[in-house]
Amino acid sequence: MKRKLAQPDMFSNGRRRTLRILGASGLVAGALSLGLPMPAGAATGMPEPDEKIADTLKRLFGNRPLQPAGDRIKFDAPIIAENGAVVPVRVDVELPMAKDDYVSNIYIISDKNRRPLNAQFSLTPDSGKASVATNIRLASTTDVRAIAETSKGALYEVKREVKVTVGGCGG
Amino acid sequence: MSTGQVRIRLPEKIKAGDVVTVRALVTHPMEIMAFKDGKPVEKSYNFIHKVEAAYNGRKVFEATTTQAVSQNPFISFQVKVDAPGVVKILFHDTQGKIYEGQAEIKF
Amino acid sequence: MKHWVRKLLRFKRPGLVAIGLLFVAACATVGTTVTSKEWTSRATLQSQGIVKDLGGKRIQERYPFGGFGTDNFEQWPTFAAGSPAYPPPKKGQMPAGIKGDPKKGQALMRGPCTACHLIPDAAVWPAGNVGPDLRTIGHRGLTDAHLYQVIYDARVVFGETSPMAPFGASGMWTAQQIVDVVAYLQTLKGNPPGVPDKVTDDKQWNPFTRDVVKPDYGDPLDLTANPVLGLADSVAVPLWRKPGPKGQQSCAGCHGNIGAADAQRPLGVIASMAGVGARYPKWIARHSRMMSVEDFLAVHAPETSGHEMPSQGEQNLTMSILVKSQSNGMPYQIDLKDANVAAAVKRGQELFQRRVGQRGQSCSDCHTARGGGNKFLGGRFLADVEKDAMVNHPYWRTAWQRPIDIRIRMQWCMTPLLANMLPGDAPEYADLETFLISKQTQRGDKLLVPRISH
Repeated sequence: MKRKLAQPDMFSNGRRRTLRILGASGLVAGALSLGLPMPAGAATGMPEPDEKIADTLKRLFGNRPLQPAGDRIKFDAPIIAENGAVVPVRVDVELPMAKDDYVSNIYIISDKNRRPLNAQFSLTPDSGKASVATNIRLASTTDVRAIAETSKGALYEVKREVKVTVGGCGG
Repeated sequence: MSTGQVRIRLPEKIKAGDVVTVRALVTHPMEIMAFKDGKPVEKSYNFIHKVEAAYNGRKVFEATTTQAVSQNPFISFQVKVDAPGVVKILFHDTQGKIYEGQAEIKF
Repeated sequence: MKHWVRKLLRFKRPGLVAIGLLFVAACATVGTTVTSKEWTSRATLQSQGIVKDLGGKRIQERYPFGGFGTDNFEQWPTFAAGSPAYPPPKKGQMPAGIKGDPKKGQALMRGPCTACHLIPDAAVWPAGNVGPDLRTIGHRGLTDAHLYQVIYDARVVFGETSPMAPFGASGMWTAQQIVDVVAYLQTLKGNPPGVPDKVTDDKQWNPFTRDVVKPDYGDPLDLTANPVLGLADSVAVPLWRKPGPKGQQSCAGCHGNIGAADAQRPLGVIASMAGVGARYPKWIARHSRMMSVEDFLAVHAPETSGHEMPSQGEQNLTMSILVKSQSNGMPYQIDLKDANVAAAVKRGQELFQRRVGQRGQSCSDCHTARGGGNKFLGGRFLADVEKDAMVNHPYWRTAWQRPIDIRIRMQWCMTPLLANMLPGDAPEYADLETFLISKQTQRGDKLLVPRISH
């Protein structure tokens, strides 16, 4: 079903977070925008500049340290992807999802992509479990990171190399 | 393939208090940047940049997606269900279109 | 096989059936198959591969996706009946007085050669192992003339069944290029001599030690994992119920409605279609040829419901998925006792061995253990049809984000062979498919449509 605008009441009693960036794009109805950092480029589809992995990490996490996740994160990504256009990944974070301490975000980041951030998933205690999956594009053989961020600000990271035989990424 | 069809799948059997896996797919081209003579072509690319999910009107999940998510994006996440109701998922693309799908939670 | 014979076989006791079969096998007349020359294609224009002049240049029109290109190879053999045989093995004389440049040779090797051969060059990714490891070829004391001949036309050295393309005899490479490659190969001594240079510690770099990773795209019958289910649900399912443009019966009118889905049949259950997909390709006497479900729909739908369903078009592919998925979990059981099917298997087997295109390679060069079967061609792990290949079409091809049937798959195989493709519904392709599915019938492989693959 295709709709220009969703029901305005849809998220009205949701747990809102404060709008973290100024000048968020007006393309999306206010009631739907929950204030995740959303660069204007993404919302408009205009090309954003290339980004180095260090800059991506800095943009997303500032100077907060990334701790090795150990067995806190189970990260499924193929060691070889025959087709970089569709690379299935799955992240299971083994951390509590309590009201006052939960996994608030999971990031999937591919170091050698033109812009490394593939996707950011924002969760709530209602998620019950911090498990997400998606299919990503990889331009070439690269380290792929799964990073879990807790509501208290801790960051845990797992890195996997995925070898790509045919790349599938231009953006 | 027509753009914007949302498919959602829930487990067949759900009990109150379960953490259920919600799988969703939307048909979408997820355009990637075109290059001409080694330079990016400046235009607005159409891709899904945000996914939102609500369970009985309460927001439970959101994803920021980029052009490095595959065409016809697939997303899976968890939600703890305590009451029967509806899971709604919205896919937002960069042309301002919103594609909606919903699935019923029954015990 | 005649209709009454079939009826007889269905109802008599097994012993009688066996006797009857012997009788039929001895007496049945095998029909003459039509070929792509006589067959009026019902395929989409893109699938027909029309060769034409474009601004003074001959091109073959092909699909706009995937990288098919339009290069025309009509002077080289194709799978069409009556197409000339590939030229026989040819001796090559290494020209005297040309000096080889190993640097240029290395650059050339990085091109087509490393899809099949390993060289000690860390920059090569992904190398294949269809052919021998060449990392110490220069240590073996082979003469330049010998190496020249192997590249020029390997069949002269290794016999007619060599899977290597004749790079010189086919005109793909010049004498100078071959001499450059020979010069490079002779530098590959190893360190110490005879032991491959260690260029990387990565076991994945080496196709002989690389892991075979089958991508896991999830349950192919889950509509959130396999996008073609949604496509079929929005194209084929309504089409099944739709009366023809002149009020003709819909598919459902004759074959019954689509019931609720079950675990094996995610698009819904059509009781009358159970097992149908497992019995094709079939010899269709009226058309004097073998037909797959896809071929048959392209003629049957317009004749009955009035719906056009051109082969390799979206309606045809998704309707084939709807119909074939009704046989999911059932073993392939094409009628190998039908003399016409047996004849098609034989023709298909011959086509499977046929050298086509400028490269002069056959299906069997890549897809049997003799050649690339179960080995890496570059990064691609090639299927071995003797064991597990070519099963279950149409499927969702993630690389192209579209469904393809086995005919588009065959047409795509023509691209690296530098061969023109036939129309997707060509009777020759049906014979080739019959040969492949005869293997699956013998093995008892089960249907699973639609798959999802790279």
